[in-house]
Amino acid sequence: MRFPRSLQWRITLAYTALIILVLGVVSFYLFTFIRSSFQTNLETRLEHEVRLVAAASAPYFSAQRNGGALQALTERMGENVQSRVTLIGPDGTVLADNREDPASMANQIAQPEVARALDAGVGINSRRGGAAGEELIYLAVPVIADDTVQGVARVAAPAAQVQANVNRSLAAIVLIGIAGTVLAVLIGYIGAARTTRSIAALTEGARQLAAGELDYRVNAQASDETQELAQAFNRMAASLRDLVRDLSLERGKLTAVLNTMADGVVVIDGNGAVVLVNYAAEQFLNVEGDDVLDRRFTEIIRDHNLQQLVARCTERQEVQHGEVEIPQWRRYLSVITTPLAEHGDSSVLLTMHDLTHIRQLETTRKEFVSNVSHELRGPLAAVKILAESLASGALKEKKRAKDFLRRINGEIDRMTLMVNELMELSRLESEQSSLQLAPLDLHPFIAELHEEHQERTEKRKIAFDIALPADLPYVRGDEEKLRQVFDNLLSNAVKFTPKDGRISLSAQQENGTVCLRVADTGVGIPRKHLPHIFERFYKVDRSRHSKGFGLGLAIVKHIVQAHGGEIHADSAEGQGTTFTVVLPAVMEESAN
Amino acid sequence: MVRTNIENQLDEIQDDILALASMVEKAITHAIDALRERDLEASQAVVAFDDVIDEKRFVIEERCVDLLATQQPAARDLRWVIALLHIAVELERMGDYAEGIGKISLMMGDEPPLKPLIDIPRMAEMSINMLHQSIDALVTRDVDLARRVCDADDEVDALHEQIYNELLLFMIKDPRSIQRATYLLWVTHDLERTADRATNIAERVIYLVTGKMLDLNLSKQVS
Repeated sequence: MRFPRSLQWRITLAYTALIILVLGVVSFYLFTFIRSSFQTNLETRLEHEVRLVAAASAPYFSAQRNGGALQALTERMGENVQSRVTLIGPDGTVLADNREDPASMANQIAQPEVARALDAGVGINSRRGGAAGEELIYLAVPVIADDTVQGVARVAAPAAQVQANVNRSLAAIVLIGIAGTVLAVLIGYIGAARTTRSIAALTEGARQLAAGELDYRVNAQASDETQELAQAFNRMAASLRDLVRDLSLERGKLTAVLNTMADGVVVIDGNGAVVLVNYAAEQFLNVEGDDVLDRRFTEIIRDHNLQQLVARCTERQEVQHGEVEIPQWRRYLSVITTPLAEHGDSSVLLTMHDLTHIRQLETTRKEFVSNVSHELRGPLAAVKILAESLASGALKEKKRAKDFLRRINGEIDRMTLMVNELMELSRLESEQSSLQLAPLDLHPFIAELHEEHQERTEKRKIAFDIALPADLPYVRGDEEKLRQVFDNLLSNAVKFTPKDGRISLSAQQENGTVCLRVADTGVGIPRKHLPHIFERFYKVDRSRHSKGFGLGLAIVKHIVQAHGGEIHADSAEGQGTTFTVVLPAVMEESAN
Repeated sequence: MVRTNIENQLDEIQDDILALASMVEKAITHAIDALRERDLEASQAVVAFDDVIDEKRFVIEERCVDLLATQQPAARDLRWVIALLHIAVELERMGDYAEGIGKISLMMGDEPPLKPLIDIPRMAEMSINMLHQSIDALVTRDVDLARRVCDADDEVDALHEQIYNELLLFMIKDPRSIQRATYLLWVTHDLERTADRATNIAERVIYLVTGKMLDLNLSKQVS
């Protein structure tokens, strides 16, 4: 049989078992006690009666046996004591009896109680006897007269009297026992239910807590130990909630740091699976975080150098550095792999730093140096040849010498111009050149420009128009530098516009800015060159030995950017080019 | 999940395949970059790098043989090992094409380029993409992706034909350009073969997953 598991039933059962045990023991004791006390009572009563009978009948024994008188006496006595009374002679013959005819009765000397009475003074025995054959208790004493035993007096009463009394008591005891047991079970059950109700409430609380309901609180009703337990439980829940909140706050901070840092972070566990990847790393490796978690990193970061770095880090348990190129999207990463020993299963932390930009700068610098040397090599070689020619005799021919010197001078001017432009560009790039910013009225500014360039345009039969709205706002700018910008743009326009072409300089206000446009109907710039024309040393037509170095537009761009403006170019090959310079407008001044 | 020895070994071989694929991708990228930039040093490096690729292939072969001998793989695992072995060979051949392009670049030497390279880098990019995706398909057992790789082969073939015709025109117009044009023809041929081998890998992925070996080139011709 399975023992019931519920605490309530266990308590009830234990309670009931105890009650039944106690009741049983008490009942057994009471039963035996009552039974023996009834027995003793009966025997004592019988003894008193028989002694009375013996005393009363003694005279009749001594004054020669008077059968009739004895019989009468027994009948009277028997009636009074409500028992069977027998008088027996010393030889065992029945002299008188109140229930049977004495003559028909057998000799009683062999009966144990009679023999004992004659022998020891009192004899007692219980056996079946009499006409009804019921259980009787016999009690006999000797009849003594004149100091001699004259005979035996005997009284008998049915033993059933005792049994009946005992049975009645037993019934009462059993009844009370059952009632007590039922009551005990009931009380036990209810009491246990009260206790277990508190426990059930705590259980529910723990369940809710485990399910993440950290704000759940146990209602402590009972004012006993369970209340204390419930309070302790609630305190625990509160501190758990605080702990979880702190932890998630901490985690949030960490996640925020991880996801906003510029370096990529990836954590790989001992099986080679990705367990963490931050936003920067997702960008570097062109993956989505959710797709890569728990997948093998070799499947995601498909690069043998990186794979090797991780393998070496795991193997040697040492920090490894390396540079990795991801050719697909031309990225260069500096990677550090660190063994994470505290995880115990050779996890690896990968930190990636993007070198793409630095590499690009390096390339640009290299290109710059090679461009500068290339541009200088031409004039230097020319100067060298001219000087050598002069040295080897040309000096004597005055006319040639003069021409050579003029050309040397020209080449040196060219180089000086380039060096100056380079220095200017370098100043602009390092933002050392401080602009003299002041509100500038564009009307006189543009009128001046127009005047300056008109001579050249007229010479080449190019129409030069100006279109300015009357209410043009002022711009904040350095007049000298801006003049440089438009000089350059207009010179370019004149240079690349053929005879009978048209150049226009227009301005208009647009959302707090002023857009200045220099448009020409020149040769235009091929589409593939357009994105590069503002780069240093970039020349659209490299084969044509043009005078410039490709630095003019780079300088223009830097000046415009230093003003907080923008410049861009639109062009259609063979139809012309438009440069747009956007400068921030000064709104108050224009209102005046 | 308890990982068995054989699973671990298969993962290691797969890692090696991925490394090899990455090496080949880089070799082709660098070979084409060097060709375009006329960077002979870089071309030399690409040619030298082929030895590393070859060595990796033998490492993979050793590992496969080791696994076959010690683990006696059955059914799926066996098919897988054999497939990886074949893919290693395909990749190694692609590495040879990269080496070939490097050598062509060296042969061209200081000669001025016939024309600015636009279509050949584009073709290279397409072939490398196919290779990358075929390996992606292998890793993720993605049949759809593998089929897309096979489809992409048509585009590469079309581009190949276009470049071929263009170069022929160059040769017809100016017989002096024949040598340089022929060099570039070799390059396009190497790239075209690279794309074919990427298609082979994709077909093998389809076979591994579905159990059907399709010769997609053939089936297309029939239909």
